[in-house]
Amino acid sequence: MFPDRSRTTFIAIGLAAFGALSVLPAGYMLAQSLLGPAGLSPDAYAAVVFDARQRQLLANTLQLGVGAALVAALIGIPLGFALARVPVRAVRVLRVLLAAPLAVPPYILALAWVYIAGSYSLPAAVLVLGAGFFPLVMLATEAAARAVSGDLEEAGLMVATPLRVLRNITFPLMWPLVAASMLLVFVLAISEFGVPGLLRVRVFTTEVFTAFAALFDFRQATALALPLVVLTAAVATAASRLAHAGRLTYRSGRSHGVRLRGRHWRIVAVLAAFGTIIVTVGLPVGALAREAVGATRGAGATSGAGQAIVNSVISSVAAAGMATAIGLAVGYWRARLVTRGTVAIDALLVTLFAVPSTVVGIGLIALWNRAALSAVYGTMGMVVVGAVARFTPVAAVLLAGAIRQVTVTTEEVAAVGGAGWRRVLLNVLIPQIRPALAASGLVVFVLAFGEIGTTILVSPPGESTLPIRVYTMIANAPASQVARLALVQVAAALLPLLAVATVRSARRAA
Amino acid sequence: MHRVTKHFDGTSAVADLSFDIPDAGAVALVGPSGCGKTTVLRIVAGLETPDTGEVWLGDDRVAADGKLIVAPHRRRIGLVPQDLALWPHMSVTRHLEFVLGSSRIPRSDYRNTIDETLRLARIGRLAGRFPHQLSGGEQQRLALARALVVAPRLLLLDEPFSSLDAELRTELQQELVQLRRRLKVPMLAVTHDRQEAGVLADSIIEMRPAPPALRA
Repeated sequence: MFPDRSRTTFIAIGLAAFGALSVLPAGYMLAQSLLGPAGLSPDAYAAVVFDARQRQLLANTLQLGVGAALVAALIGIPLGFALARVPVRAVRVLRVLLAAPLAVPPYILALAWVYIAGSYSLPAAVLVLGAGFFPLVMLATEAAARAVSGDLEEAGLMVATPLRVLRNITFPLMWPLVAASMLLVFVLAISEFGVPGLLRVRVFTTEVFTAFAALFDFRQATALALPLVVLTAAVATAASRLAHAGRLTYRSGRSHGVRLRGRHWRIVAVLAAFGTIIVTVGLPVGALAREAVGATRGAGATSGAGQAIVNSVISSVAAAGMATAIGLAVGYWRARLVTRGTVAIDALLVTLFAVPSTVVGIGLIALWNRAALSAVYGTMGMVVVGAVARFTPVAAVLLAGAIRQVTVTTEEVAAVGGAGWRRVLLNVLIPQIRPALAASGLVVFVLAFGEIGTTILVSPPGESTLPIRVYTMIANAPASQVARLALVQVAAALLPLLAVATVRSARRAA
Repeated sequence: MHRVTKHFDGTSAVADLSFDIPDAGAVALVGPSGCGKTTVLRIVAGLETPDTGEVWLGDDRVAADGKLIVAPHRRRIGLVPQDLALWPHMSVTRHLEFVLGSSRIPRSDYRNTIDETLRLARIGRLAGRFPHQLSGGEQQRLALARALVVAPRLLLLDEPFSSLDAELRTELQQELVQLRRRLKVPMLAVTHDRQEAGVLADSIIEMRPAPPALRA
């Protein structure tokens, strides 16, 4: 890679912002829990490790993570394989519809399932999170099934039945990426705050929140955060290692590999897809709509909700822009300049994304609640900071992947031709990764719009976002009014995705 | 192969092609890129079906007029594809075991069969290695061993040595000729290199791209 001072400055600014906003809060919490005056004390850790109540907490957290990963795999693996290998005409539409649960904040799905089943329990939380996160496993399985070289399968088909080829060649090659996605679901489930909070399941994230926000016990909160952060980091590292296993190759244009071509496969695949869409999206949205029908027009729920919606939109747009800009610098650094320790850096990015939202929130409060930062702290700016802290790693991962696909020679040719870094960035690189930039902005917007665990801790008094409004109303407002706002939340999450899918589909048709 | 045609999206890839491969004989298909050589190979392997015409393997009609009569894995054909398609998660031995798993060879004979095949391919000392631990020539030998381990009725090679340097290519060409004669396996090879075709095959079929009229 050719040296360039402007590029170095761009990356340094991006990395500094990333370090300050994303790495520092989690790092601060980790350091405080180990070294700080409010942290490391043998008593606090003895309580976490040996106390029967805390052991139950650990058991609940692990059951939630493992259960959600298994449910997600049970739904996601067959669907992902079918999307890749069963020739269905409307595969793009099916993929968007099946991925929809990812865009809906999990606590909204939990709320809907409370209306449907009325169950507050650990199994209910497992099912809700498994059904909410299964698209991650599905998309990873589809990507893996598409990436297994058809040539490798055809070499197997010359000597073995399609079933033996799938069992001995295709699935072993797919497995690392699929397992990585299951581990990702595990860490997302154990870092989730809204669903266990709503379904009254005691796990580490809810206890961290209670210790800090209800009991004002910073020491207990940091002590509780440690096992969670360590577990998250360990699993994220394992996921990153698996994703780097590097057994996948792109299919060549000519070879077909094993395809499930029969009409019966198509019927089964389409029925399974629509059944899943109905259960994971249709039923929850239908339940919310049924509850919302009873809402009194203009009363309770909507008073003040308008400002909350405006706050959510503005803060999410600002967070999407900032996270994408910082993610571009970090992603560029990861894609172009990192040659060693790629597994560790990718694991760090996944860990930072998966650090529980309540832990990030407390870390931000500890770092930003200072006189020098009062211009931001205590304003809606903190909500933006919270979202940028949590979701910049996602933007960085997405953009690093896109930049890796762009051959570095295109930049080198421009530089040799006399273009400075700014021109190379604006005229050569960005035009080639425009879809990824748009995707990054959209993903961060959707995630920020549904963010609750960090926002509920850092938002200023008297100000609210839509998720906080919904979450706080659940306990003390009629279900019909809560459901109306929850539907607004669902619409805000799904409409941008559907709009993008429609535009892309129209462009493709044109 | 008798009067075989094949189209892809309205474009003719193979037009009315007929040829025979004699017992223990070797035929090379030669021609420029895009003339349909690899498509012919894939039709013989059973990975594509001919739109019209018939494919015979000995006395068995294996494909005819858009129908696959005998599946690829039941044809007992050994294939060495252009990119070798070695399975990255399998060791050298495991490659051969997997192929033998579909044969009628008793499991108790696997060890001897594998040892013998690896010895013939001159990679006996590499039995425990994985593809990424092999050199280019060793990978080529493994692909050949995998194709030969079940004593195939026909050996298919698609541009077998195109990725190797000239010296290694010549060495492997000679080894392949000797091995094939020793095992008496008939062979169909695809190459764009006339010199290679001359070394490997007893007879050469020259293919040309389908005329524009057939591409409509």
